[in-house]
Amino acid sequence: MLFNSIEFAFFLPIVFFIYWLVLKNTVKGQNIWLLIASYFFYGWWDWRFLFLILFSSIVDYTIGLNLHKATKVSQRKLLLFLSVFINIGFLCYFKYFNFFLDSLNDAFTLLGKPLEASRLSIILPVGISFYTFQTLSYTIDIYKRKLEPTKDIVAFFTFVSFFPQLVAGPIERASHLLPQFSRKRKFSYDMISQGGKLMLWGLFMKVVVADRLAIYVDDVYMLLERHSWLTLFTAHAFFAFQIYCDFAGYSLIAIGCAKLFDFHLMDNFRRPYFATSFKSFWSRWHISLSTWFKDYVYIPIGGNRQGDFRAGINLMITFIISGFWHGANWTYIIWGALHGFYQIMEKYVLKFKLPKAINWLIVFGLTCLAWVFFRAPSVSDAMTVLQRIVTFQGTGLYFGDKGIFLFGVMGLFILLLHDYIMEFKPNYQFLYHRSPIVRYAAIVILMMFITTFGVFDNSQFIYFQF
Amino acid sequence: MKKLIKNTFIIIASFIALDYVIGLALDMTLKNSPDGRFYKIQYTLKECEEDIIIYGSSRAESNYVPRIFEESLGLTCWNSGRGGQSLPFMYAMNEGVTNRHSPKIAIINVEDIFLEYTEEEYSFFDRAAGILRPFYIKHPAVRSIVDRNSYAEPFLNYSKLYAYNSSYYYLFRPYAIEGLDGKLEDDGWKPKHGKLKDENYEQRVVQEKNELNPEYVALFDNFISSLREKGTQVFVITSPNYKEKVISTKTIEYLKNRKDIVFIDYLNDTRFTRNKTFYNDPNHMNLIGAEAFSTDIANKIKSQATYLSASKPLF
Repeated sequence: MLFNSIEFAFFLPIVFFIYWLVLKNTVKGQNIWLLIASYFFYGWWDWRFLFLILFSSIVDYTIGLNLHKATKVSQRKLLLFLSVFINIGFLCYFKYFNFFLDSLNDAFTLLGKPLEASRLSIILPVGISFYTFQTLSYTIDIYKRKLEPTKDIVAFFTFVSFFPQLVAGPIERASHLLPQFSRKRKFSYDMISQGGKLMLWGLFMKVVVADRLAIYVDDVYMLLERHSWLTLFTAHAFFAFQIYCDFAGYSLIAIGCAKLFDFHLMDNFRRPYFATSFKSFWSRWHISLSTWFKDYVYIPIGGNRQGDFRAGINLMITFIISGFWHGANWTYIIWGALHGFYQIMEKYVLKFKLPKAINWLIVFGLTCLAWVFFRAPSVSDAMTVLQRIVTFQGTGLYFGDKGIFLFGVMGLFILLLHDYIMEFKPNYQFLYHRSPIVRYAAIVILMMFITTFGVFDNSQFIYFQF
Repeated sequence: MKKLIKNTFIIIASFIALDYVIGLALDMTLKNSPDGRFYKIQYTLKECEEDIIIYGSSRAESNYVPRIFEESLGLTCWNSGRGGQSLPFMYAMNEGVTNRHSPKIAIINVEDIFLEYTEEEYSFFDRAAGILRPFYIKHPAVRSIVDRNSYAEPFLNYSKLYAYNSSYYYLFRPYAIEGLDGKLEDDGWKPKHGKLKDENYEQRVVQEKNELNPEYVALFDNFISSLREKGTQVFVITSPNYKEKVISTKTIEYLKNRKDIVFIDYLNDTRFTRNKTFYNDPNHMNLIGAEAFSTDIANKIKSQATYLSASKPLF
């Protein structure tokens, strides 16, 4: 079920009212209800993959309890290995099997002995990368004795499958989210109002900005080699905002939706394109994932504890894995490697100071350059784009459907205005204004804007595929 | 909870009231549209009573000149073609026409892979729904196409803001600049005034083996049947493309085998496919090409022994 679907518009109020009106006095009852709702939400897409979540939940629940009880180091290591092996094993099978096979095929073809192995027809279960990482954090934290396992099986199962953040995050840590399933929840108008506003703005980002810009970007990508450098440049600047609004929009809907049930999820995006350094960019972009990689990959492989050179290598390894997490394609790996490279250069090589505006321009420009690899279906397509842009090939700017282009730019302008206010003038936010008339007007206008300029057909959240 | 319900009610009521008021203004804007694509759809659905109706996509819209058919055949003619659309849009237009009128001749421009499975990211049903929603409430003829998009369409389209979603640019544009989608006196024709660049165009060869899409075939069948039931003679025509040779496609085979239509195939007619001066771009003719092409079609229609077999006398 998509957040921007009619089904969800019926599903959410039903879950909400039963949760607060019928089950308000029972935490257990609310958890069971959320678990049923979450499985229904996920099963609406493909019920067969519910067994995968169920299995993953059973495995990590059991391993968590046994890890806590186990005293021998070897036994604890074995249990952790089992959890990592099963979770990553599923992820590798569903997401990376064909990629590994293709890469192997390519390698053997280069050696003159092509393999005869054929690809498998595998459907990627929605959100597998997200809930896998979430459950992994649970067992790893118990192994590190940072977390006590829960004995409440319903709470744990709901933690794994909690519908607001099940399919595209934020990737929550067990230490932050799991205890919220044990405490009593309190109905608060202010909290629900805030949740609703976050959802509304998230929906705006998704359907008005991301989906609209996507039409132009996809259109340009249909005939890449025919477009001018200016068109390709514009398309990739648009893509930078498309992917931001797609993912940040989804995250905001998830955070807002969780608030409706008195759950607090972590912030996932903080206006990343205002960053004036790559370090700052990564503290604003997909925060739940970047901190996950920092805690469970970068630090365990050594972090910056063994000198600058080793820290640089660790950084590169972390970013390459992060790129690979995004998709089973060399383009994502290059995207990750580029960001690793940017960080290393910034941290260890180019230490001179530049004016903020220049820094901003460099960070945004290089981020857009990396997005070329993220968006392009293949490395050769990405190279075609870069070659045409760098050598200024072709002339003119392609608008496609002028209405779509115009509405895309308009949505983008409103987004930038909003982000500017959030970043520099937070007291001017209309949705949270002191005057109720301004607040109400802002909500109604935003609703009208979404209905008027939103894209409601054929839209999928980009991050679902990851 | 009471506060939440009360405030939610205020917000929803305000939204509905504004939606209604703005919707009235949008309906008026569409109704009084001086020209443009919405005017054209409105005219096709509600008013057109011409003897010849041309259906199709951008090729139909640019390549078929109603004036030439009128002069050559002595029949009135309206070009209902719309760029970027395909069968679902034509079907909806035809529903609107045949519900109240019996054209003598229908000319349907089709492409070589018109009825086959294509990997379009935005399907032709979605595209048609996008442009037809403003007509949903007043013109039941378009509903079957729009409804295919989602089971919620019958409810959603009561919101005018939703129905007019993303239509504003083309809705308001004719008020600022007239004639961009064709002039009124051209009866739906949207001439293209450009010419092909001097570059060397490579020969394209089409040989598709994709299977026919049963849904499209059924829709096309209904389309033809509704015209035939009205006594309309149906000409299905493929427009030529510059330096393109079509060896075979399932659509062409299908059309050749249909007995209730007259199929005229220009895909490999070298008088047109080789004449560079006829084209605005490799897939669309310019003014000179459109006039030559329309003249040729009119002559072919004239040469059909049964072209005057329409229900009423022509003159």
